[in-house]
Amino acid sequence: MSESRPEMVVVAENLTRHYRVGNQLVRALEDVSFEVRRGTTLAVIGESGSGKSTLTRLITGLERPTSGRILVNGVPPMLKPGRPASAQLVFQDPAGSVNPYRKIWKSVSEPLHHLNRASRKQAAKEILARVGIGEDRLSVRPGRLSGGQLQRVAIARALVTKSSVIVCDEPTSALDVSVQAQILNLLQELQEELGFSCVFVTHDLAVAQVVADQVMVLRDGRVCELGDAPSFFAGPRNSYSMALLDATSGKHGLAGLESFATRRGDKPA
Amino acid sequence: MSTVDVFGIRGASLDPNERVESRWRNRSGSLSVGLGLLGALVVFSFVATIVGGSPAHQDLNAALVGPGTGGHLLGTDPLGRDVLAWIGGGIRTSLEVALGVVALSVATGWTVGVASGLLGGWVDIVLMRIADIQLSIPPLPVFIAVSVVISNNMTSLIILIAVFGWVPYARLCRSRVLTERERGYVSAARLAGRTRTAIAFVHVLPGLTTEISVLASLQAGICLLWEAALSFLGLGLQPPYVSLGFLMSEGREVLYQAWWVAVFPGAALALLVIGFNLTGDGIRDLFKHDTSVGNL
Amino acid sequence: MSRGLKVSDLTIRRKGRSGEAAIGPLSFQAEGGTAVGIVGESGSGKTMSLRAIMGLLPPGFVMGGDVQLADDAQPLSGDEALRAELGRRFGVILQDPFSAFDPLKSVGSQIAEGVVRRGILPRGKALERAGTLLAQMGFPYVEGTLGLFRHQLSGGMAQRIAIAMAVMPNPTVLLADEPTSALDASLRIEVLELLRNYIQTNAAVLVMVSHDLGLIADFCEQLIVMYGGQVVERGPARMLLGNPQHPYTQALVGCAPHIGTEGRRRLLSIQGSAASPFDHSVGCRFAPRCPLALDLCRSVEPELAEVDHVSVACHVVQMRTEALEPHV
Repeated sequence: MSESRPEMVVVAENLTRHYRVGNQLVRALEDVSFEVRRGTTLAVIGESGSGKSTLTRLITGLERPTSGRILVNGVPPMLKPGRPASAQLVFQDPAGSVNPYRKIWKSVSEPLHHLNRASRKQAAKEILARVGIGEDRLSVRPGRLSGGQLQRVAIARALVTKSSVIVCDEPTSALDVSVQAQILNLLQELQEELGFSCVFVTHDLAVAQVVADQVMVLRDGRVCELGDAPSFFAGPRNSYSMALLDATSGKHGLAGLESFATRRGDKPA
Repeated sequence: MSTVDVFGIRGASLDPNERVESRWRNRSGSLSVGLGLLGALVVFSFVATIVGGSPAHQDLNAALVGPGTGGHLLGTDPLGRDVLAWIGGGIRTSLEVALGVVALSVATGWTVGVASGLLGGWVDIVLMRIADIQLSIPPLPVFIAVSVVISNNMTSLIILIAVFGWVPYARLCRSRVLTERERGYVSAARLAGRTRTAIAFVHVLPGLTTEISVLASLQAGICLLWEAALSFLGLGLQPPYVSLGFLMSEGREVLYQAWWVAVFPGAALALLVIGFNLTGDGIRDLFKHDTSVGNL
Repeated sequence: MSRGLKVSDLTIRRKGRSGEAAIGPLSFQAEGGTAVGIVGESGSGKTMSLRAIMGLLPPGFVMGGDVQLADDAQPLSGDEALRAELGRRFGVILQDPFSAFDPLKSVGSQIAEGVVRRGILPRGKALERAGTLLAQMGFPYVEGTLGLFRHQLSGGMAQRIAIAMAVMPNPTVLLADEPTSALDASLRIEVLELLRNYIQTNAAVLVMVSHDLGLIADFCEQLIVMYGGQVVERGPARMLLGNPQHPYTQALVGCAPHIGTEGRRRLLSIQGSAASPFDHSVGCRFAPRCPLALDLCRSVEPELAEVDHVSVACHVVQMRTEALEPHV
């Protein structure tokens, strides 16, 4: 189905992942298929237990599928020491994603094995500047940075090897709403500038709408709905998706009150 | 919410470069006393050797003289050896053994624990069963049996005691690895293409140094006691090695006539053990995470 | 004000420091049966304020001001007096639902523990009440529920049982710190509805700290917005959010994503990073990030002033209002 369509950077076909916990078989993902076009973002929406985190591990190669296949740039993702993975990951917990004992430039340049120390530091400096962390903070340890700044560091690390696929696992769930806005804007700017594709996992439909070109809803490991974002948000077909949409936006939440910005006709900065 | 709070009050998050100084001021009681005591004992041991001369020097004319008599500040033993000199040498011997055992135990325990944790699978199962078996063997009978065979050799003794000392480190390192393994930065390191050994040293080890130090300090004390006990029984280190335990065993025979032969080395031993224990407690208190603040 | 709550000039300072309070002054009044939402981001002081009301400030901090409960002649002030009310007239619900439970004991043995130990109810009555409350929280099979252990509970179950535990002593005030943040979206509404039912039936007051403006809008009558340790805006929740006056509140409302007709887009964002209440110098704490900041804002700290039923602490807003009002 997908042999030579280079514009499809991530391809999943009947992706399945089971594993054993004690005597029980856990079906984390069951028969998941989707494609991500170059330069676009697929939002994966699911509640806890939907398999969304497992999906991120399969795309990056941290785990192997039980059956079915996953291709990144046409090749199954495989972790080999000495070579950074082709799909990089931005984690949910900003503090846990960076080694608390190391200076951030060292953490950021970790994937750059083939370079010497000076070049690694330079590369780290450039990418950190690009995400908004100044030179004066290069040799700082994670303990001194806020959640938002740590996420910027994590994004910098994911981008330092110029990988074509970035997977984000709830990257803004642990952040304040104003910081979330900054990070979401940053990700979009970087995507436009660097052209990477993004798989953005979230439980928050409103956030998904801000970033998504395509939407996939996961429930208990299965694909509930998959389609382009505008159609999804205009009216999902599946009852579970509709329920999720309702819970987020219906009479609850800010959409119930007219948003200040749209009412005034203001455009975002 | 973000785990690194903005207030400047660091709760459960650990910031190694920032907090050590203020902690030091607040709760360094045990640590300073412990390290101070150990330092003083080391200094004392050198002074003792200078003042007392060679521990091995026997002078049967001056056998069993009391403290303060004839230039012997702490008296002499049945063979006329100067007690002060012996204690000086004995402290250093004890420390050598303790440090040797700790170094070997830590190295072994860490390797086994990290390998077990990172590799998992049958490696983990086999190594942990070996650890369990090790723990179920009572040390004393083995020490006695093996000591008879290895006779008077410090290296062998160190290895022997270390065999019974590595397991706590292995368990500590393994459990830590299992927790840390799922942390973002370990996965990130794998995604960066790091080898497992590199991950073990760069990402896992630094987090363990505090706990290892605490364990090591406490273990050093126990190890000192083992060496002294074995030497006391005539098994561990006998002359030409200078062991506190040996002197105590001599002193036991003449306890009522010449109490100083047993009491002074005993006191030195006790002080060493207390010093290590306080140091261990101190390190633990210093780096105790203040979890009362929680999420602000 | 039957079974109501009044907080007056609550302040928090670092021990040993005098001068301006780092956090506060925070004042509000609520009638029994209503909810107050305190909203803010990290560093706003909202959680510390709640802890101060509970009497649980971390060591090194000192509180000022007092808390008046309707049935008291005198207000309560100071850590100890407030702490004494925990488990009596104050019920507490925390963000992590599992933190309320001891993993080694069954739920049943813990639910009644608090009230029995404080002598509020004898054991028999306590267990009866526990059963009633659990049924109200949506657990029809009470016997079974009481026998569960912490690890057998899901997040939603744990939080609902934690609420039951918190309301056992029939508290006058419920203090909730992000009670639904750790739950899935579908559970949040359920849990908040339970809380609302409780407070309305028992004429209690709910003081809820949250970062989620939408939830507060739906479940709270009053809203207090905090930034950098200060209250920047305060008033009826829906009115305030429908027409926020303070530039920070406007920005907060603007940058929160919500489902609408727009797809991929950039969000409104506030440049810079959050001010810390303890690093403050002069002037309005939001001034460094405020698009409307004037010199006055940078030198004089604004005070809360009423503008149309809503209190706002902003020089620009106050000046604008004065300009519109006819001079006396």
